[in-house]
Amino acid sequence: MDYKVLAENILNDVGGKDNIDTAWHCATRLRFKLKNEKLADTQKIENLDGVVTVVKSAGQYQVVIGNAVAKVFDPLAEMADLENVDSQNDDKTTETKDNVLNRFIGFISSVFTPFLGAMAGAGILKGLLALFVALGWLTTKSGAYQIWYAAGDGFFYFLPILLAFTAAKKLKVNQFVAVALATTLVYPTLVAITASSQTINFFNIPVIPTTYTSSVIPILLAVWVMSAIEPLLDKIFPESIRNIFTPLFLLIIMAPLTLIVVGPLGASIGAILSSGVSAIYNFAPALAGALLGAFWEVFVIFGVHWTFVPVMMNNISRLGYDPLLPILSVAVISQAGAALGVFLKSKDTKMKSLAGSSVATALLGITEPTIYGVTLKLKRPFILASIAGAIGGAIAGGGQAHASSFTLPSLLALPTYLGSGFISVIIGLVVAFVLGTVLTYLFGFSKVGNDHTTIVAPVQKDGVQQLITPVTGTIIPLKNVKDEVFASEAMGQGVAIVPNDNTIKSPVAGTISAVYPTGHAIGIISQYGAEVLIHIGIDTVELNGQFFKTLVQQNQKVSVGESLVEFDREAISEAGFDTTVMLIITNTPNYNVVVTENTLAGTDEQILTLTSRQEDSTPVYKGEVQHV
Amino acid sequence: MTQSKDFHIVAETGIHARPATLLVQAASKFTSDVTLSYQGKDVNLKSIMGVMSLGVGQGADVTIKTDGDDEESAMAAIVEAMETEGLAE
Repeated sequence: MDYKVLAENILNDVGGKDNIDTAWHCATRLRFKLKNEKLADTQKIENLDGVVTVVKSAGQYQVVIGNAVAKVFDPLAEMADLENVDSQNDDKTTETKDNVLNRFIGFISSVFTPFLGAMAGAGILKGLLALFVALGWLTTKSGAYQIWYAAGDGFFYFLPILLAFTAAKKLKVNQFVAVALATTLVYPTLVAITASSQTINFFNIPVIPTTYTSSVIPILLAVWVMSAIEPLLDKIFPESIRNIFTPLFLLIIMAPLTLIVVGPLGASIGAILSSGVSAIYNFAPALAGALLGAFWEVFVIFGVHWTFVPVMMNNISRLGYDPLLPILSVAVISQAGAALGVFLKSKDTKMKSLAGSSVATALLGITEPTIYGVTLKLKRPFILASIAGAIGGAIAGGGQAHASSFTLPSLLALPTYLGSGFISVIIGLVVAFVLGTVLTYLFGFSKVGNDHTTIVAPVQKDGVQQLITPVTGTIIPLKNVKDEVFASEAMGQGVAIVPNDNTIKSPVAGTISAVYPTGHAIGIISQYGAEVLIHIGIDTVELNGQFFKTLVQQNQKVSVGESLVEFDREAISEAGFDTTVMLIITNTPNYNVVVTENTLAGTDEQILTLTSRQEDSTPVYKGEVQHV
Repeated sequence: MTQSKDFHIVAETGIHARPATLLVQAASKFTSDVTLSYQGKDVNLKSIMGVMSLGVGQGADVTIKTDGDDEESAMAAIVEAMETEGLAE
């Protein structure tokens, strides 16, 4: 489909660019504020190929497109000269608040998110195989091992290809060109050249051999550069040939650019790091241990860890042992500890299962699922694991632990550490693991779920009901909510909270009257008849239940402060939605609703006061509420 | 004579907060009793919480009944609300 033509038609049929006040889009809809809705030819728009339907709601003229909405919006915005486009994505505002590092970490974990499950599966397969070999059940020469190993390792070996796909989607560049670029980096001929340490030239520019298999950063940087070049090429080539010429020139430019600049940049940083760490080890082994224990996984993320391999190999061939490898195992195990901490603490089923399985894989030396799925994603556990790794690493380094042969760092490498300093590795490993777990459990992430503190039921004094806040955060007036339906109080009066926690608690004692299948809204009828609606986020119905977990059932009796819903605040705002929580009294006409004057809502703090306007405050709906 | 009409919900998010509010607003303008039936349960269409308690999703078939002095215009207003919201056919 030609989205440009569609955009042009829509623009004409809504009355041209002069009729557009503002326009933006959400996940599936173009949303217009039109100066005059009567100028829009709704029927004509609905009949356009690519338009699902038109919805007129809340003063907005919404054209439902589906997933391709951004592709229609971009040319439309260009044609209509929309300069200050309000994007429904609050990303912009939140991103400017975040520092560059946080955004970078956010980007990295978001490109891993789509394939976390598959990555964990492949990681477990690899771990099991390593275990079977260690137990002597399989030999590395057997066909079964080789086939399963290829299945498990293929994912990690060709990680740049998978990353190209998700990063391209995130950065809105041609996914297949990005994948083609990634396949270039891991192309067998080029991999063989790197392995033989030959140097090749690109015309007269030397290409420094760099390992790209299993790497993360080079391809992400490459796709990022590509996202800057692709639009330029699109502008140069006329539409009729763009389809072929943009990819062609992207590959012509990007492949050498990546191989000559991006990859070697990482490699030379790595070389400095590895020689630096070795130098430090010579005069202060414990310090080198602490540094390596703390930063090894950071090196892994940036793909500069490969430069340590020759250093270690060299140590083993020259000295007969390497002092760095045991420290790496400590670093790896600290991540496993942090993942265990997350597993123990998280109430989110998805995170719990991922964290649980990634403990096992990390112990066996596969840390990708742990880092990208769990610790780095939550940020703080990663830092805590690094602290634990530093302390454990200092012990192993200070104890002058040695590895007698080169084995990838994990618990399975323990036999190679036998000999002098072995006890210090063991202590270092235990300290790193336990500390990683405990620190993460204690400080890992803001508390999720379930502390059932006993709270006195709200008082019904002279027909007065007190409601506590459903979530902690900043209190804002309902009229400031960026959704007309709530802001206009059409649903009833209430209050909004910008949450800083991920658990919704019941503001009243009562009965759950409405559980929406998508989990983003919940209704409660208080024991005194107030109809309380809690709506989590704006337009979050579109998430279709993703990131929400309802903890109660329809008709269930709940007490004040009981946990009702868990939601993944970070993921929801990353998906582009406003996470403001609205607390609405849907039978407002029965009450005088008074909002607290506080601006912050702490745990279980009172937020609304309802005073009955009439004696009879029975719910206004008829019929029994039944479980659906 | 009670008015009754069946609707097939097409909106991908079903009758959620926003559409529920608009339906309730439409129904509340009239004195007639307005009932929404879904899977054998009846609720008052003038109550947001009542409507939302049904959890009506996409693809659901619901019946709306109006009964009272202005039942015909009430039904017309509801049909209009359903259509302008793209809720049902």
